[in-house]
Amino acid sequence: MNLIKLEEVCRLSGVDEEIIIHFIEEDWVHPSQEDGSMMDEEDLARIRLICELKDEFGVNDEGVSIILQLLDQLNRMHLELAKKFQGDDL
Amino acid sequence: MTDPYTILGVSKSSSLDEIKKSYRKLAKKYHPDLNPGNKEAEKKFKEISHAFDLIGTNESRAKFDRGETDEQQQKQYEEYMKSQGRRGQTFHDSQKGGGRYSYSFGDDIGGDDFFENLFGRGRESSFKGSDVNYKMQVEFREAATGAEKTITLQNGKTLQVKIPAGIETGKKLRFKGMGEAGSGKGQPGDAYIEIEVNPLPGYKRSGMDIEVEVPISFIEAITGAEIKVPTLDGEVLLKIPAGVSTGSKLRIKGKGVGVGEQRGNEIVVLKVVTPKEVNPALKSAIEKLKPQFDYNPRMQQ
Repeated sequence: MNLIKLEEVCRLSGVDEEIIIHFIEEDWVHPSQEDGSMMDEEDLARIRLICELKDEFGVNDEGVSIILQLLDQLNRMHLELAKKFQGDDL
Repeated sequence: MTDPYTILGVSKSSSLDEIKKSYRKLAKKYHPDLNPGNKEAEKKFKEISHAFDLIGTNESRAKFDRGETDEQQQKQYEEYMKSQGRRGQTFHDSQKGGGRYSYSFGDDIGGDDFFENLFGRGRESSFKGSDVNYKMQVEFREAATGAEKTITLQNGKTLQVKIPAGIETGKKLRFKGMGEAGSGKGQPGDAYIEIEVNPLPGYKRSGMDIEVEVPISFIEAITGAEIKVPTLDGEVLLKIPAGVSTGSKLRIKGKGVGVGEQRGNEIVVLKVVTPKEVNPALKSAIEKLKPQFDYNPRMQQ
């Protein structure tokens, strides 16, 4: 897993730094490195997802929080289920 | 190629607004993150996105209607279908095999906490649990190229820790909700893992590069040589050009910090070493050469 500088995350995602900081403040993105100056691919993919939810689907901030929480739990369930039924493609 | 109007369920006479509306509706339904693991939905979503790229703006739509979808565009489309799409890796894919975000809920998935986590934010008389700090020792190599380790927390739970390539001593990794339990409906605290990188003798980090000091003889410095030098991936052969000095730097591409194409380089810093006890024969041989080849390096620029 590579660490990506914040400027690079902005370039790759096409999102301004201020907006990414807003995402962090809203607790939607929690970079593994506390200060947020470096991020990883998980953070980048999550930022892209949040932008799609907001810009393309018109989800508001409250909605984003709920969707992200549900998605995190859904993905976790997938992982847990995959562990239980190892070998089956979920 | 299937007609983008058909894919988006609109007609040629539909307005741009109708196209957008229909696209949003379909994209919501088939978004890969809202259908994790559903290959069919993922395929459908790519089709929809591509169809929208073709007719989603007045410009592109006019082009398409004029029939300007040439071979190149078709090729691009095929490439596009093969790749992850213009959106890059989906969030769901980034969580496969256990992402940080998927593990931000602790181990009680399915229990009572499951719903409390969702709706319990910011209620009265609820306090967030305390954060817990841990320290983790990481080998130099693991810190440079990344690793996965497990740690056992105070509460007996084990945590998979992905060490990102390039991490440095003192950096903290945060695991949301893995700290102490909250009171009432409060959320649990976070676990912080502070990284301490064990030094590796002879190796020094310099940003994404790794500096390694390699001693050479003064004879090798004059004639040039091919010598074995250590890297994080084992020894490699390195050509030393004639005329190097102590402090000369040579670069070995891709043996530094990071993963894959973004990996930094190893910088070999040469150190010319003269034998401690000079053999008399060597000394007299050099003395003989001195009148012809002596030079004053302090006069050089």
